[in-house]
Amino acid sequence: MTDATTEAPAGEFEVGAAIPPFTRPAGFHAWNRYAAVNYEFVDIHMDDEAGRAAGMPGAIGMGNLIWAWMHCAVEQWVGDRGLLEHLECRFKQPALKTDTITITGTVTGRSTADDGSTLLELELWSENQTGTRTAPGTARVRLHPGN
Amino acid sequence: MSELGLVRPDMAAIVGQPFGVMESYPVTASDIRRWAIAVYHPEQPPAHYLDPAAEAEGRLVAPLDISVFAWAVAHREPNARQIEVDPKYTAVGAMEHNLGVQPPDLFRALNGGLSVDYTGVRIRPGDVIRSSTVIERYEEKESRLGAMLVTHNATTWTNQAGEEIKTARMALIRY
Repeated sequence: MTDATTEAPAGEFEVGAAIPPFTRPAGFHAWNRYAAVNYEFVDIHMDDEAGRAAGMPGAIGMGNLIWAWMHCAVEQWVGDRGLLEHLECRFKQPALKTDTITITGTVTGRSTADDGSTLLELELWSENQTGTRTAPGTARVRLHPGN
Repeated sequence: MSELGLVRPDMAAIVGQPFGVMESYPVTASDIRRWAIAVYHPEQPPAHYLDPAAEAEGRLVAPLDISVFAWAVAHREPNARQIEVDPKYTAVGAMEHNLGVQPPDLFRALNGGLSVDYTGVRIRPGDVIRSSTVIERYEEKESRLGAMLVTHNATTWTNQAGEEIKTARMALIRY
C-alpha cells in the first residue's frame, strides 16, 4: 500500500495534477474492521458462499469502504489546507478479497471563490490492480486562502 | 399518474416530507479514533486522530464519513404515519411506508450512486447528531431492464446547536 505524501510539491493543486494514490488491500482484514465500526455485518461481505450465491466469485467488499477510502485519499492529500465539500460516485464493480484498490484522480478545474479561497474540481475514482475503474466519481475541495 | 405510471399521486404527495428523524448518542473520542483506525488500516491514520492531547485541546474532529448511527440510535422521533408493509418492500429499500404510503410494487433494486455535501461544520466529541431524511424527487427511466423508478433521497445531519453538518444523497433504483 502507499499513502499520499503530506509535503507540497509544486503545482500539486493545479489543473491536470494527479491526486496521490491511496492504495489498500481488499479482503477480510479490511472488511471486518469496517464492518465492526459501521455495523455492516452482511453475509456477502463475510462469507464466500454467500458471495457465490449472489453471483460473485466469492465474498465482496463494501461500497461504503470504497467511499471511506475516497475520503481518506482527499484527507491525506489536502490535510488541514482545505476541506472536502462535495463527493459523489457510482459503484460499478465490487472489490474481491484478492484485489488491491487504489483511489486516485486528477484536478479538473480550479477557481477562486468570493471569500478568496480556491475551489478545486476533481475527478476521483477507485481502480483495481488491473486498472479497471470500479467506482468513478467527482469531488470538490475548498482550499483555505493562502494554499 | 406519472408518464410511465410508476409514481402514484399519493407517492408524489410525500416528496419533501421528513421521515426517519433520529438522534445519536453523544459522539465519543473513542468512536472517532476507532473509525479512523479502521478505514486507514493497515497504515496508521493521520497523527491528530491518535494524539492523546487532541481531545482536550479541541483538535479532535471525526472523519467526514463517520456514521454515528451504525450501532445504536439514542432516540427516534415517534412517527404515527408509519404503516406496516411486507418485508419484501423494505428489502429493496422502500421508504414510502414511513410516510403512510404503500411502496410501489417493484422488487428489484440497484444503488444508483451516492453524493454528499459537507458544510465545514465538523463532528467533535460530545456532539449529538440529529438526522432527518426526505424524498427529494422521483424520476422515471426506461432501460433495457424495463421501466425504472429512481428515488432521490436526501439525509441531513445537524448538531445539538442546530448547525448543519452534511446532506447525503442516495439514488435508489427500483424496477
